[in-house]
Amino acid sequence: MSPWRVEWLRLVRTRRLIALGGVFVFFGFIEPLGTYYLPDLLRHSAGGLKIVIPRPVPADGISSYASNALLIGLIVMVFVAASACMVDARPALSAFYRTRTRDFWQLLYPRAAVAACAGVGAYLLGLLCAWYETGVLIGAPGAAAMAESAVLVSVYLVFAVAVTAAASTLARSTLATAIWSIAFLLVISVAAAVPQLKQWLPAALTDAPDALVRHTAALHYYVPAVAVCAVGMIGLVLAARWRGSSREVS
Amino acid sequence: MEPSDGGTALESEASDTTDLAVTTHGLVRDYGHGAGLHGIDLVVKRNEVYGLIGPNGAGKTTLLSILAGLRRADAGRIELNVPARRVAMCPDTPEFEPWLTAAEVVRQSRGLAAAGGGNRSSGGSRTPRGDRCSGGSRSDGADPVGRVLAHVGLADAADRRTGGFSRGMKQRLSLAAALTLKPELLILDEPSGALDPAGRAELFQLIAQLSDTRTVIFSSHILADVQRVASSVGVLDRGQLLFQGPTQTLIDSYLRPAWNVRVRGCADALVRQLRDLAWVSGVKLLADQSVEVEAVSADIGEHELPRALVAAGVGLVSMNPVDASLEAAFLALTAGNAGNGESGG
Repeated sequence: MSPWRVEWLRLVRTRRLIALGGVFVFFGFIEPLGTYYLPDLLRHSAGGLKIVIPRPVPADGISSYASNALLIGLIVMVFVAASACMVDARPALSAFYRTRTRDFWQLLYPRAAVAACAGVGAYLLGLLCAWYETGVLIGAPGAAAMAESAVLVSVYLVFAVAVTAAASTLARSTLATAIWSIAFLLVISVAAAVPQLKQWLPAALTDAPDALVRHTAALHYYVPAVAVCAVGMIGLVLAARWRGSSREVS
Repeated sequence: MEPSDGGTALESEASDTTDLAVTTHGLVRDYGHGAGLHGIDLVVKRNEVYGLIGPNGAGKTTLLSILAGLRRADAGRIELNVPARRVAMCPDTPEFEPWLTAAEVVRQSRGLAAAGGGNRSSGGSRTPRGDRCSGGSRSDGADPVGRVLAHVGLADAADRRTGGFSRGMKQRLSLAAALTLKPELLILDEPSGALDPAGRAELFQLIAQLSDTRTVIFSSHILADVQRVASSVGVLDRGQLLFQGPTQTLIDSYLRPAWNVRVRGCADALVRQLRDLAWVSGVKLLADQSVEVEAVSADIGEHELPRALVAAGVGLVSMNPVDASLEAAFLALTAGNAGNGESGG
């Protein structure tokens, strides 16, 4: 049985795939719906107050999905990736794996790749749901902008998995790996608030769905962030490979 | 190979290096406060079963982990005369992905080894005796996974997920996952720790068969098991190898030249007669009416005691050497080392 098949079974049999897909699909359906009915909801709960809310536009539905999916969904994805990449969480299991492979990379690569594919796939599935429902309720967003934003967010999600893979070679447990990874991603999100840094940080990619669908930014604006992501991923993967190979089974 | 020094009973036999599967030279792994390994010179011959015995904390698991490449030594050298990819290890408390079935774990083991470039699952044309099978059931057929599971007694559990396995079943599965790779060197850390007596007997029968075609190093607390199957033994205590050599040599070295004799007839009269003999250094009548006779040497006792029994005219029911066990030798050896304090080597 190939390591790829084992990773697929890990996702399916532990129901992590359902959890991952479920959270993105949930937001894909609920966010456009909430955006569409938000004026009505506020009107009914306002009592005597008169609230004026502009009519929602297609970008609102997509932006609402992306913001929630890249918060809650990202956390779920990091936990799924951490549980897969944490080779040394259980020493006896680690011994089973490490005595059968010559290079730690052979263990880490399928785990990280399958987790990244699952995360990206779940995000795209949720995006399709959000796109469909936004189109039905509010109006169809531009297909080109949607495709561009999907690619950019996918790059960010793969970067998040690379961060998790690197953290798994530093931490000793799945929980610690997830916490370190989320903390790192949070730090770069906060750092992106600095205007001079924003365009260069991977966190800039999380704004892409809103900006591209609203046409407030062009695709080339995100090139520096994509480049930093690519370089960062290579660095993180090399670090994970080196650190994982030099680690002992305790 | 040089023997460990420091006044231990370590035995060294000059061997052609091609006959050796594993040798270590001054292996050190210091955990502090005396824990770890302190200059281990291990010599394991090819196609032998080597039993590693020692009390808790002696360093057995550390030594086996270093041999398997799971831990590093602080100093010293390992000469592994088998390819690293042909080394398999079974830890004392094996774990597997709980959502995989036993058959899938074996397939995963083969897949990992194949992906790792070892191509261990192919195994060439060798058919070691340990891998032979018979019968025509599904598990005994051409499927190598079913065959190896049947070999360790897990044929009926092949399609069960390992999350519900007992520790003993996991130990069997660990062995199956290792054997399917056809390793040249098999390292087993406490392989029988969770097995019932029947399981232990089966396991050690299997290990004995494996020694025809591969080298097996195993650690155990159950010295009777080691005595039953190991051709060589290493006694490890507080990170030092106190003895290394043929199991029988260790037993003989610490064998008291004493016999327990059970006779038909008057045992009291036999005791009185034996006391008068010059070669008898001690004799006593035990509560079960058997007689324990100690000679000045094993050689004299082996020759003179039968003559004395004949001369006494008693019917001989049984005659057994006293403490002719690895356990007795081990206790004597480790007790001696404790008495020597830190001087052991």
